[in-house]
Amino acid sequence: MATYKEKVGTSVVNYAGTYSGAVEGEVWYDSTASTFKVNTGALVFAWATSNSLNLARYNSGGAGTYTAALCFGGAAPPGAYKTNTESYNGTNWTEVNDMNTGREYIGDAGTTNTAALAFGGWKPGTASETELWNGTNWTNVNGLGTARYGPAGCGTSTSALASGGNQGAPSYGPLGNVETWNGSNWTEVTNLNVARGSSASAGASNTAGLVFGGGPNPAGINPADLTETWNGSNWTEVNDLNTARESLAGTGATNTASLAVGGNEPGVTAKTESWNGTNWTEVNDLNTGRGALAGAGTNALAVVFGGSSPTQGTTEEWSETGGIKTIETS
Amino acid sequence: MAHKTYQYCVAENWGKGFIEHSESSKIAFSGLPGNVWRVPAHNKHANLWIAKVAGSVKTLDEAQAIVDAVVTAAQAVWDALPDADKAPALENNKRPTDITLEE
Repeated sequence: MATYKEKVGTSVVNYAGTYSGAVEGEVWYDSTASTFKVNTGALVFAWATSNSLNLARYNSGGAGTYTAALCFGGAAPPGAYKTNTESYNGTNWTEVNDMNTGREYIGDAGTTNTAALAFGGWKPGTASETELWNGTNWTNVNGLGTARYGPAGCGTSTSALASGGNQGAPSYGPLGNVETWNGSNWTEVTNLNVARGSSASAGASNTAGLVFGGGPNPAGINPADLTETWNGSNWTEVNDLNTARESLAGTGATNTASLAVGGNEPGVTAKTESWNGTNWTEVNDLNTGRGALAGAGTNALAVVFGGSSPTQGTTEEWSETGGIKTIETS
Repeated sequence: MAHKTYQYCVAENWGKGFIEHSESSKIAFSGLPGNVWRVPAHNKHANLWIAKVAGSVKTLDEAQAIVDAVVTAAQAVWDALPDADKAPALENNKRPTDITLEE
């Protein structure tokens, strides 16, 4: 059998700690840790494919984490306004109990796949219905004060924020209305500075949110790059997205670390941007560009699913790759 | 002869492992309708990925025909929708648009 030196042209370096001279693919022996290590390349975040939804759809709701997500409702023509709910375990999607009201353009909140909130939407006509997921069933709870489709949602099933959206016929115009959910009721609070629908949102609760992108003008399509942050009392305009878009996905458990994924520019985009609390930075693109997708997770570990056009169930996972790895033997 | 920027192949996305994080960080993928994938031409990593997924390499015209067929079918589905379903006039509820592939 050929030795490492015969194959690679150099001996395995014996080094105490992280060998900074290692090129991509090079193995060395870390005498401090008593393990072999390898440089697998620059440490970057990227998207990888995962198993698709059972029902391809767009404009669904999404909640949960990278390895425990929930997809609910959405549209899958012909026969729009789906009630279908699927739960993701990090590898596969499993059909679980349906929503009570089929709809698309759903507002969503929830940081686990066992406790989520669905609100608003289009059924057809604007919806105010709110449903609470307990890990097994959806239960109807008190509805939004203002019926709408395409509200942005963030927070948890007991402390959520519904921001903006669009009204129904005849104008289908954008709304700046914002409501907070306390686990029982919705309360109207201060409006967004710029009314918009089909934006994305991230945040931990009904007192800390971030809203970005969106389509303020359904008649003329004018996707927004605007970002606003919510402190529980007021909205403040902060730095813009690099790429204006609507019908994007937003992930992030806080309003200081978020991901803006895909959307329509108006053509579908694969662009991904990461928010650090101050600025948006372009990072690696989705493998399949799309709008009207849903997402779950954080800005470091995320999953996105579904979208259009055409209608798809494609799932992609976001995490870091590369860096120094320890070689494990079994 | 014109220098190709992209190459196309058809490969069914089987989900987990089809595109790994390490591949996505090195290759600019573009998933298109009909299981058509656009990747950089003259690229070692892209060629290795096509081999891994047993991709069927297509010419630009062949790839365009596959994409067109899927988009045309999606347009027909959209055209058949009742007006109420077409009402929310945002971009993602518009009739699917044609996609033109690049050399």
